[in-house]
Amino acid sequence: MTREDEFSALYRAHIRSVIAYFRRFKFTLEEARDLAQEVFVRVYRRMGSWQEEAEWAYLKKTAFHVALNELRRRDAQSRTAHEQSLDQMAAAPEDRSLWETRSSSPESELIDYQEEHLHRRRLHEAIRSLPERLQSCLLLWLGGLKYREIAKVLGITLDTAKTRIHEAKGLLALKIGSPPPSISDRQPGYEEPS
Amino acid sequence: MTVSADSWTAVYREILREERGRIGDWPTEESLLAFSLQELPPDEARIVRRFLLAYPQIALALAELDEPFAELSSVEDGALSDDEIEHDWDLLAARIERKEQPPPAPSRDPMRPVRPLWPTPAWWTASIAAVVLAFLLGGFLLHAPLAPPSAVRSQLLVPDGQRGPDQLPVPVAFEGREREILLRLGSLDKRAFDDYRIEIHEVRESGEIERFHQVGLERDEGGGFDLLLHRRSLAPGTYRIELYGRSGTAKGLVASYSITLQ
Repeated sequence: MTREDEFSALYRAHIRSVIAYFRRFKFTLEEARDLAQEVFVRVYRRMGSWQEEAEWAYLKKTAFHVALNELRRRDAQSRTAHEQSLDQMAAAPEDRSLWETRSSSPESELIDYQEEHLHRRRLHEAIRSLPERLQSCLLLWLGGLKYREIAKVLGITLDTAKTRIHEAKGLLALKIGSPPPSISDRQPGYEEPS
Repeated sequence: MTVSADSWTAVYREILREERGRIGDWPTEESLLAFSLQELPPDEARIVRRFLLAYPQIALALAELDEPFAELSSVEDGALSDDEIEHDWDLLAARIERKEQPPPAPSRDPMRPVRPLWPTPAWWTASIAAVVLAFLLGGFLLHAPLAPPSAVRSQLLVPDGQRGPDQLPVPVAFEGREREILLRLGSLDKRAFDDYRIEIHEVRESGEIERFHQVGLERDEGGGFDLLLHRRSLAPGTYRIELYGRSGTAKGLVASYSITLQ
């Protein structure tokens, strides 16, 4: 089998999985296709250099690297954009009047808005007041990770992860008097914790 | 107090924003891998842990890095039609071929007008040798998975604003059963960026629609760029090709080229 044949077979066997991998990072389908191209260009250059590991393992490491670079680039871009928008706001204070138009809303809407705002503020404070060990687990859980993934990321046992999330939810319920979010309210796109 | 699902989501996103705002430089990939193997000193591990709280997608990717790819669970995930897979394969093959080709002679200037040269004896000898070689290799190349773009006709495009008084879109036409044309994008802008991106916009009376983009392009030795255009990729019409350069957070338009695809 020639190098090209081997590469063609590798591409056809894994391209859909690589695209699906990028989709889990919330990239659009078109972005995922672009990034998958980048992965296979890199893999082509290193053909034959991963004899000691499985094809999928090498592909996945490369895809992780490509995803990380792209997310880092976007993060830097969004920070720059944010700084620019703050500069613009400072340079044009008259634009702030846009925020004041809310007072012209009907009174009932304003009350609803204020109540909702208050709830969010209390919820925010309640989460932030949790001990760090509980807060870390809860934030990863809200981010869509399963118990075993949380355990792996934080270097704790599965049982400890489960216990901490249970404890965090219990404390939140006490502080705000409201049940914690159901699984379907977490960030979409991931499976439920087992 | 009853907290709505929307509020939970809004608060979670606000916390993510706060966490992201606290992060300085991103940890390196090596640090992340060392963290996942629990090989980082406690201080560094704490920084990485904080980072992962702000980026749960990366935390998830790290947690499952040593597991095979997840099974394709839905049509949305990675399911492309066979035609789309073939289309992407063609793009990939062309991109790899371009990078594998030896660079052109350094003296080449893509902006220099192409002048007809009087064929010399050496030119005739080289041409005959090339035809014979092409004939001998033709059968092989037809079956090679990565068909070389050297067999593809090329057309030089001069950027908008640099074509003299005639600023009409440049006609680009496929001839006969030709499947591809190699567009050679000349550029006088010699700013060096880390990488380049091409976008193709269809120009309509109602506005512009992006039809294609590609990242990771590299300048050739002459300072230009190659874009392999497939016949099936775009319908006849007017398009503007925009070439952007990107270095870190800086991004700039390098050149644009208006074409009429016939």
